[in-house]
Amino acid sequence: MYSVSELYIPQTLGEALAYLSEHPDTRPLAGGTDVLVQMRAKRLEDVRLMSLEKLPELTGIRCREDGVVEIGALTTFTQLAASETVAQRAPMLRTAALAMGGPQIQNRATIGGNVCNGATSADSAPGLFALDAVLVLQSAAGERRVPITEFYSGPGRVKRDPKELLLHIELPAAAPRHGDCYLKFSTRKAMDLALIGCAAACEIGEDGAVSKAAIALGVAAPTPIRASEAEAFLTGRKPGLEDLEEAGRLALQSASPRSSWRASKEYREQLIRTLAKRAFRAAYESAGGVL
Amino acid sequence: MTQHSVVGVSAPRIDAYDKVTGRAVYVGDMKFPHMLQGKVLRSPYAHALVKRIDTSKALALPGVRCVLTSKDVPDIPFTLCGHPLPFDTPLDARIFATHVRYVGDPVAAVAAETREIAEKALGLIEVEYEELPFYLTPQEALAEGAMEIHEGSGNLCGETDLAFGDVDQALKDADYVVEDEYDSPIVTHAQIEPHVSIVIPDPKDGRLTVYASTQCPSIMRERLAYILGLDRRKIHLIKMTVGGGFGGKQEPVYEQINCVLAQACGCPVMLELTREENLACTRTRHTTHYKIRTGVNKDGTIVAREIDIEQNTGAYASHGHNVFFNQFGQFDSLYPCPNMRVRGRTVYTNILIAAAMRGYGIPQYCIANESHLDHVAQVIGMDPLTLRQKNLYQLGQERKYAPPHSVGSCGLPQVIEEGRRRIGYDEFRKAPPQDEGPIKYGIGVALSSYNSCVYSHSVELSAARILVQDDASATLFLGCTEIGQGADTAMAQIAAETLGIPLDWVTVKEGDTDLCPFDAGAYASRQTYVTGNAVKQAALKCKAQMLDRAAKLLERPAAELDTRLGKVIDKATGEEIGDLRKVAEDMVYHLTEGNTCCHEVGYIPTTNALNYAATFAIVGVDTETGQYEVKKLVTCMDCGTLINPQAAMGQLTGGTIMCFGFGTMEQILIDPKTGRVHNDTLLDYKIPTFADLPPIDAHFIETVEPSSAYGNKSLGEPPNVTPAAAIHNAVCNALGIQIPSNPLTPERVYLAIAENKKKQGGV
Repeated sequence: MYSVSELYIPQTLGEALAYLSEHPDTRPLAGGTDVLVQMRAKRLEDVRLMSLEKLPELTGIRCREDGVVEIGALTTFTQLAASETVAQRAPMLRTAALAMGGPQIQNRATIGGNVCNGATSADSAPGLFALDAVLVLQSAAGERRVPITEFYSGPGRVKRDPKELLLHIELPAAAPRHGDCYLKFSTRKAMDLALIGCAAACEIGEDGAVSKAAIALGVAAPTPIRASEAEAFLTGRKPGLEDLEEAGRLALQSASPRSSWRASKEYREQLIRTLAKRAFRAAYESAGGVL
Repeated sequence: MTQHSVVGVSAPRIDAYDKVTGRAVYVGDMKFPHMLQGKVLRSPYAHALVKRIDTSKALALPGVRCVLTSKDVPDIPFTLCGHPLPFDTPLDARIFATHVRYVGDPVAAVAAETREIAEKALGLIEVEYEELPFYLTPQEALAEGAMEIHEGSGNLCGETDLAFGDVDQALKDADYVVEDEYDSPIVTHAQIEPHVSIVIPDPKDGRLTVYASTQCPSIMRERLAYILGLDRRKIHLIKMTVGGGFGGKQEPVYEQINCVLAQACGCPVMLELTREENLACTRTRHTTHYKIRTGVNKDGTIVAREIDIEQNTGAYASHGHNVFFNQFGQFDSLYPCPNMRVRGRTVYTNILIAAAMRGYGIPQYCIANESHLDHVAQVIGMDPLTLRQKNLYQLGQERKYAPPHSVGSCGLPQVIEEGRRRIGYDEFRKAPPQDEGPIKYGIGVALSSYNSCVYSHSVELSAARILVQDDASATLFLGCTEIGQGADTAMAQIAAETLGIPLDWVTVKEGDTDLCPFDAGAYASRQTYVTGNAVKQAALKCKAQMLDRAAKLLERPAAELDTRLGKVIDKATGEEIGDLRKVAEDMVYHLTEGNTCCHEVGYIPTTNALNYAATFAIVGVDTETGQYEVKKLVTCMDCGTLINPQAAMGQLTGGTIMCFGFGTMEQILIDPKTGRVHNDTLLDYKIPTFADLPPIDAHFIETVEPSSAYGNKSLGEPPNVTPAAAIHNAVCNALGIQIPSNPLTPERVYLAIAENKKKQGGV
């Protein structure tokens, strides 16, 4: 049922990167909550696995002096949800962590795995997109920094070089008046994938005008996306209810949802309109904005 | 009411300790020396003929012990229905198919040293198929020119037309005629324990010991012998701990395949399905299309009912048309009507097999009929509950359509009143909550009646043997089956109460066909109602024998004595006058009059008691997304007198959760292009998690049913009937529209809102 050709457990980051250089067909194994599912479904067979369990460089959550928050790739969703650092910088990531799977899966699954698996439904992705998070990757050849918005290349595909490991994710320092919100829409309240996920982040000026608007969507396209038309519309405004409706409509312009047996295009479009509007409103209000 | 000592007390379930500590032994836990693992090769096509099978490569794989196809096994047509003899559905199945009729139909099987080898071997079996046109709906299967899925069937598995009174005239005369159509989904049992068996052949006489996860050991033994062409004495069936049945483990599902594997290999074989197989290739509830017409007068009197039921039974009949009969059986026990026409058709298609599932047709009938009644109420401008109350069955009223059973107890008015009070029905109706932004509120109600066994439709024998030991403890030998519903505990309580001993003096041995008497099994919510009577009668015989002995010991007439909690008591005063353990000891060890105390009674009911229930729901619907929250869910139920109140509440709560899934999110989805099941995982076949559940207020109204052992009635299935319909009606009430299908996924609700808006905009 689970066909593994080799399981390598490096003791140091150096060993891990050396092994990847030598065996670029390796599948890094973090929590295994995606990899094992794919193996069971035979989408992965005779796979060469490298377990990351012994690598401390990939763990931990830190707030640097410059206000940048670093989240180690091996941070589990349980750790993410429990982190005060994360909650202060971006409470929506805590929401996303608790919306993912169930407690058992949250205990195993890691944020790095969630991102590198490349699924458009990844619960961590919309929040990281909306925050303009930066991924720090390393190979034997050196370090590379990639904005997460440029990392995804297609359904289940990301631009991780097979010789690279994701070390950590950086969240830029927060502006003085900022707020965010993640809304996951799924049939079930737990153990489910998003039909649409929507994250919004917002920075406002003292007058309440939006100085920075970010709306990111999961499952609205083959990869997570930013709704740039809606963001441009909101930037500089003191939004009213009508503006939020318009932002919802504009969010749809960035999206290309599909009909599948899980949900129709028509319904996903309605969810995009509604969630974009609601998420941004919540983000704006949590930044101190008054409608 | 008589004061009982054991019955009516919330004793801990006697299987609870082993289950929560992991000591309970399920078939999948067992290991035997040289045990092989079986795997089934399934058709990838919805409808095809097998033209050629080459098993040679699979057989050559090291570790493979046998590969079987249709030509290696008995060619005896059988029915996949799990009812006692005589067969009551078409004999349309074989162990392996050469004419495959759904994606998943078994065409071959392998036994190998490991599951991995067996799985690999499946990939080495070469099968050439000739694809045939396939049909996923009754409409397609009954279309002119459609190919027959079973030769000579016309794709009809059963058909019934019945009429009482003068329906046409009554419809003509009625003030209003309201008509609706409704579609219920395919749902499946999703037992936590997949189907599994171990078969051990005895080399000296070919006798097979079958360890099974089954609801019906006696039926399984009979049916396996029939399918294999063996004398029944050649099958020894042992039921282990069962991790959920819900109707899906009533009949042989894959046990027959495991038997032929074990016969061929001459050693033990385990055949355990994967989760994916369990969801996509076992049994389901019938997806059913309803057409309902009701003739009603302005005052709310229903004068005519016409119901057309079209069931999709899938590739094989299994329980087939019997599921229609069960629905018909409830027509006049809840809303009797002098003029009634019913038409039932059960249709073969090329989807997985529909069979028995908790509620046996009634959950889908309830949601179709109860949502229709709300529409009727809306048309005549009457409160939906008032409309129902005007047309309710009254105790003593003659029943015309179902087998004419007398009704011995009916708490229907009380369950309605209690539910109405608990939910705050009148308050809601008078002043419904204001909309909160996009959120609209609604209230719904649904009622049900439910049988307590299958009398007089089919065989209803249950037997119990009680052995009173030399210390007055008792061993119960039962064909009655504990499948998680609490039957063992209920039977032990009935035995202890009747014998007059403490509950922990009772040991239950059940599910072994070499040791235990016949019992039709755990289905139709019948065990406590039917087997409970057998246990009580056997216990009364044992008690009489003990009291005879006590009379001699105590030098008092037996008629003046009774037993209670292990003591002999004075019947008149209740005073303890002897130790029952001493009596039992004397009964066995007396030098000249010593005797054993063991009595067996077979019991057949002579009527069929009715459970009544009412569920009320209040929901808040988000009209922008179609998502809704069930704010309050109240179920009040009359299941007679409770044997074990806490266990009964477990059944009521569990059934409510199961029905919540049926109403709101569960459905097997089939790819129209291939006939394959899209969602064969528990990610995509959505059973509710605890996070999804609404607050459940469940409540019993106790009545005393005279035809049962201690006033009890059915409880296994009825909790799985009304909640979905009440929630459905509440959502529709909030929105002021009808939604003619379930589950009410947010998408379905939103699309109905959008369609309604379009319609209104178009006017």
